[in-house]
Amino acid sequence: MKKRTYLLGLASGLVLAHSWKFLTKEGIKAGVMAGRKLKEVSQQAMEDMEDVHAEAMHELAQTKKKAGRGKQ
Amino acid sequence: MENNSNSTPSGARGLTLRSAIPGRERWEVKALKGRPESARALETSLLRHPRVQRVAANPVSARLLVSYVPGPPEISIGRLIADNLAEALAKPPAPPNITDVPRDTLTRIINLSLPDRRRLLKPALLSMATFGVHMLQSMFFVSTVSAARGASSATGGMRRAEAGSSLLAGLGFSLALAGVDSWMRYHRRRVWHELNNSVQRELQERLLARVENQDLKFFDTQGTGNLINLITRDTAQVGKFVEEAGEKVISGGLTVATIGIMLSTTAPTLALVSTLPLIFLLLPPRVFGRMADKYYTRQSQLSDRYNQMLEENFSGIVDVKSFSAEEYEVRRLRVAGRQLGEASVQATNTSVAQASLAQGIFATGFCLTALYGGQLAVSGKIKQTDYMRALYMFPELISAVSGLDELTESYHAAKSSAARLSAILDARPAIRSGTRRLPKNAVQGEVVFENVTFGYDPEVTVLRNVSFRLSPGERLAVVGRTGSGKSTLIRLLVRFYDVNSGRILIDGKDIRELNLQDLRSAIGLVNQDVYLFRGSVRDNVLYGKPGASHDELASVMRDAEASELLGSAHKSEVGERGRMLSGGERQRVAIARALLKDAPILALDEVTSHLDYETETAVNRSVRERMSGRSLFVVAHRLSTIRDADRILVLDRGRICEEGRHDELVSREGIYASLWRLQNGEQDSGLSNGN
Repeated sequence: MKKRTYLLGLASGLVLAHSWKFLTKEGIKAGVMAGRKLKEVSQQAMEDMEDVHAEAMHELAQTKKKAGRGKQ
Repeated sequence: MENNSNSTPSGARGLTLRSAIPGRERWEVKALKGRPESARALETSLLRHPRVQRVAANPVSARLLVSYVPGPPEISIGRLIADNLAEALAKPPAPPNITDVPRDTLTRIINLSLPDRRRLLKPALLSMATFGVHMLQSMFFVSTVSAARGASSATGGMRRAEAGSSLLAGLGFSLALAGVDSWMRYHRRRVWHELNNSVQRELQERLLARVENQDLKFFDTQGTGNLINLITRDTAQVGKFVEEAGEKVISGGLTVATIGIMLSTTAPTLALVSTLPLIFLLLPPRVFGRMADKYYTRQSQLSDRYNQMLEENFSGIVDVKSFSAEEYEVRRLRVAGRQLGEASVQATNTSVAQASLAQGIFATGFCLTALYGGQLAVSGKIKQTDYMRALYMFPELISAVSGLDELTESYHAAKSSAARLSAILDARPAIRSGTRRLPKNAVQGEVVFENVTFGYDPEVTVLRNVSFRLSPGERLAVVGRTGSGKSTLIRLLVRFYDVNSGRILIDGKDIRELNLQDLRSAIGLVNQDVYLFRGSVRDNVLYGKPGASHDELASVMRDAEASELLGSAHKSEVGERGRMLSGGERQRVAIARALLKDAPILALDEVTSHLDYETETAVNRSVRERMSGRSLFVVAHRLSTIRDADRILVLDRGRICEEGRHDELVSREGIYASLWRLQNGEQDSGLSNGN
């Protein structure tokens, strides 16, 4: 059991030593991409909220206007 | 969502309406994604529309918010975006020139600004002395606190009294040192600030000397705003860096060295542990450095553009008002100001981020010192006094290193300024003075143009193989349609520009071989765009000959039909660019100025266009009499001005197509004859209308 774990560790160490640069690079790339996407999605969501708010306020103003006209 | 008449315009792919209410629309513009420069360009071009009030283009979300004044008539925002998008995408502003500003550029500029290194000595010595006093004060403070601890733990009346008196003495000495310390700090700041001023002055003087001697091509390419920025802001940045760097490097360096030595001798392991995080300080400049350079360069460029726009706006205020373009100008300036603000924030953010990171590293170091040092003191491995000293000194160390770190912002700004200053200081004028001397009183006044070809832009030829001779004492006039190259002849004669091929001779000497000052002293020039300097009429006329007597002044003013301007108004201000005078008054002042120069050759470029017929005739007569025996070169639109010239050249599309006296040319039925008839007809109709 001990020997197996040792061999496994050695093998994974060898694999890591061989491809650590590639893995690190891919990790950085994925992180940057995820960050960018997150920024994009959050900004879009904020803009959507602004739009919904503006539209709601406009609809309220329209309803008030119509009600005013109805009373007259 | 309320959808109005705006729909995605046909042919404009990648445009989707996300939200619309009257006066506010949000569009998705896929092409903007990841293109901040195009987003800014699109904002600017959309804001040109009179009904558009606000535009916010987001290159991250690829969306564009437009607020506008709703109709009627309705405007199609989608169409407006589609129309402006191609331009915004096609012509993104040139990326800032950040390519590797060499580090030695700043060193070079500092060396130039400090020709006498001994000027550094006084502030440097004062900084060292201030540091010494400050350290002494700190040490005494620690000793005083230790004495206080000793007094509190002392047993026996005698020992307690001794401890108490030594505590009092220590406190008194500390207070005295604190007074000396603040006095020296004040003087240290003052002398470093004086050095900053002298660096600025030196750079400004060098820059002015270089800029003033540049040729007109240089001024054609460099904007006024850019030059003003260079002389004021960029020199100030370098001066500020010299002041801050000098002050902080000396005191910070000494603090780090002294405290480092002190800590490592008294508690080496503690010193090692506490300074370990400081190694990470090496990282931020590598990460942030390039970014900061980029942002500071962009900030400088946008600041130039903004200043240029302001300068143009205020200079052209008459036109702005006449076209009712105030609102448009305000919007244009608002966009430019906002871009400048954003760039400034970006630049500062980078420096602040770096400084904050450094602060975090210092704080970690301090915690480690406190924890590890405390453990060592409790276990008795170091003395409690040493632990206290380490705790007291570490903030000093932090403050010194943090002071050095704060230099980053100043360094990047100065580096960017140094690159710009260096570019101007290295610029060599294309027009260089020749070595042949030509004293003004030895000039005969013969001017020869030999096969002269010239174009401001190499692609566009303005003059083609122009050849003529102006004999000494001759009155030569040049006429032609607008854009035929008349004024260019004069600009070439005074070497504002050099010919592309051919040559120009004065008294048989190529003007490129002549000393430039001699050449320009030999020619009195009055431009069509008269520029008067702020000051009185008298000051402006004396510009032609600063030491002229009152009689000389009165004589030229009389010849320029401007005596009345010298009378009551000679002490009054002419205003900026002579705005407080009429066009005709300005022209007469300019003629008087050129006459006072008393040059053997006089070149007049459309100088009587603002004068009435009577004044013009009188001015011409006086100038003719005064210039009798000297060469006169006149460029004119109004043919009545040059009717009695000895010879008239007619220029058409850069070539001399006719030459002769007035009567000969009129009878030749060429361009001159047609111009003469046209102008006579205008005069006739003008008179008849007037009647």
